[in-house]
Amino acid sequence: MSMFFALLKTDLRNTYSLNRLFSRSKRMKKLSAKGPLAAIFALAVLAIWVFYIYTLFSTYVELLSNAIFVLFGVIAIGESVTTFIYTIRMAPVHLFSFKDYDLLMSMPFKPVTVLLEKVVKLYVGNLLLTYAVFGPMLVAIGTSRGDGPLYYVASLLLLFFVPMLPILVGTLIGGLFMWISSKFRKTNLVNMIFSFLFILLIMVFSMGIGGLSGFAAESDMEAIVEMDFFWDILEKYPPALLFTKALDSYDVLSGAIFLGINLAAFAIFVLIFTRGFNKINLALRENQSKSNYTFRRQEVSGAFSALFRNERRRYFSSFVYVYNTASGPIVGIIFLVMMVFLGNTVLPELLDTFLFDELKPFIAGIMAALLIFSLTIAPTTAATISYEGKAFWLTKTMPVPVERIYWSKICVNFLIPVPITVAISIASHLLFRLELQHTLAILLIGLLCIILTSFTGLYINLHFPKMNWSTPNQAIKNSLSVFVSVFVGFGLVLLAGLGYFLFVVKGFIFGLEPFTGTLPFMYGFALFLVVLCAGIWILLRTNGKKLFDAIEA
Amino acid sequence: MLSIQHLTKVYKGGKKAVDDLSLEINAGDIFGFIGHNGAGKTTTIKCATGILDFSDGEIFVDGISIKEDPIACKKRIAYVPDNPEIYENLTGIQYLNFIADIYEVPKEVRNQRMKEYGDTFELTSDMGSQISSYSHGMKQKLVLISALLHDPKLLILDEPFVGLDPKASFTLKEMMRQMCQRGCAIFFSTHVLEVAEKFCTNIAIIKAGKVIVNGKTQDIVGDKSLEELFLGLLEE
Repeated sequence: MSMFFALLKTDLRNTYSLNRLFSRSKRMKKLSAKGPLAAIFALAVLAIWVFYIYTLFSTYVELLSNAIFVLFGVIAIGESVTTFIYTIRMAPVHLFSFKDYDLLMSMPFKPVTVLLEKVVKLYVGNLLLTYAVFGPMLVAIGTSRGDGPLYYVASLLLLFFVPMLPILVGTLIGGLFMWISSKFRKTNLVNMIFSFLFILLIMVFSMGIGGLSGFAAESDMEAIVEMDFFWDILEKYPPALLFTKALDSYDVLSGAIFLGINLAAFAIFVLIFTRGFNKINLALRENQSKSNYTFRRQEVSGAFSALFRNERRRYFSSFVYVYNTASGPIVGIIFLVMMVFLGNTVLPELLDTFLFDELKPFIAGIMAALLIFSLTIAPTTAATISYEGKAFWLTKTMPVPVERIYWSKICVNFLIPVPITVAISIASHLLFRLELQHTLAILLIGLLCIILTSFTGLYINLHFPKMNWSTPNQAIKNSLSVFVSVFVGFGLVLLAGLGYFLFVVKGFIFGLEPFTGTLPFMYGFALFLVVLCAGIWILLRTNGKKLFDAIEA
Repeated sequence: MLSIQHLTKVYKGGKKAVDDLSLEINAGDIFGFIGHNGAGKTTTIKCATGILDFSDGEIFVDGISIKEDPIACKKRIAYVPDNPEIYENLTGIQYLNFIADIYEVPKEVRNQRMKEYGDTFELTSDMGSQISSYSHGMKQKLVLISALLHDPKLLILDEPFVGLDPKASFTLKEMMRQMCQRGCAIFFSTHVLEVAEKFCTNIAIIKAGKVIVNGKTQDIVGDKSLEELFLGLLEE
């Protein structure tokens, strides 16, 4: 066990850069002089967050005071689903792509120790979120019911174990995907396709199982409780049922069985997965290698094609890069699936209402807003320069105009969002029986937003390049450029909302009204986006070029 | 100390990286493993250290099969990779303590060795800094120190002289000699033929996964230089 703890301590310290918290470097000394202030600020942010969740949830506790079990169920199911999806996403990174594999395998660790450590690390990462989000909810229920200290101890202890099964099952499924993917030459791509399809399947399945359509049609809370909707769902996932029973009716036996199931699952997991864990890791680390290549006449392609092909390969070869930038488009795909689902259930009734023709511009506006929201938050260009890292010298020394390099990077950002935008526009047209001018407005806004955020992402990355990274994650996920770019994406959403509010809802200019003004506003907004795109492109060609030249390779 | 018998390693895709390779490295040997890029040196080393599984053959460390008791084997080995991937957000001293914990090096011994090797490689003053701030050579020195902490019976190094300054290279060679005199076996890959010729007691040359020459350095080289011999063999 001492080896396990030594490894866990070292790995956590390294992953979360804990040294920086206690560093005695000049920079940190400077910061620690402001220590009390920083600590107060951090505590204040935490307190505001906890208070926000607590207050928000207290409202639901009041609303459902006669059916608190619903809230326990929501906590258990919500935490389980989030953890499950988180694990499917993170297991490949934490368990099958860890950088210290060679180091650990050359040391006298049993494979089971390494597996345990990696799972516990994944668990710890998830627990922070668990307690920050679901902890205040359980406290809100406790204060509302006037529970004693035993409730708080029991609920927070049981909460600790809620993510256990989802993490174990998620790891097994993630492992299975990785194992199958490792059989293919394009391991990363196959694994990404598996994971995306699986998450989509969960969404579709969850819509299908419990009669969500029935839930959507019911607005009366009491009716929901009476129809035992939640008990039905809870029975489909026994750990959530046990968690709910244990805390709702202080059922000690349910609590004990809940703990027992989780601990037994953990033991079984370790027993059966240790061999698989090592095998999958070995298979993934063996690069496909053939020695039967015979030289063939090579095809010639232009500089742009070569650059674009290279950028596209680099993008799809990084699991984290694709996941991080494709999460927005995934929301788009989920939305598309929901639309198809609605098309079979709620929509026919809606389409028959006499007001529907007048609602069409609103629907087009909502669709465009959702596209802006889902497709503009994480452009690939926000990390494209940083991702080149120490290999940037190659790009800098190429005898190619910088604009061509820009476009090779920008076009990569079109690969996933553009087909999704076209698909959503066509689906909206067919499902909502929109006019051509409505569909065109959706398409135009979607495409222009993608172009704009590609430009802004690139410009921001030129401003804040992070070239000297030790792991690609630092460039792809945790760089300043990516953060700023996310805020710019949100800014665009806010801008669209504010514009709509001022020009259409309030009718400040042109006397636009909601019923007639939505479509002209959309075309006006599209024109505004064209102007913005042109402005940023000029910036990229002028100041951006200087920034490009100034980056040290 | 290290016995590699009929080792074969086939990668997915079908490439035979190592083909029926056999080597014997005894206590007191400094064994140089030479070959051009992609010849199978690193694959052999990774199989010998238990990092890679292999298709056929056997590997014994101090008489113990690495397949049957990998932990016991690894306790006797220290491995220095060609490109040290270590925990960048630790300080040097934290990393050394981590390694010492894993290999159960007693407190007094680890303190004495860390200080001694730290001074020898002129790294002591930087041990409090984050590894991310180290140069390639400093990382290499740190990994070398960590490899020596538990006084291994078998030291396996992949291109150990790459990135080291001349003084550190000299120090490393001296340490390797001393270790051999104490009965340790050293197995390392290198492209520096001059070092192999002057420094190794034994050498093996690998080409396309197969050992084409193996034996005492003096017997192999004879009147020629190792460079001449190596280039001649590659051209055959």
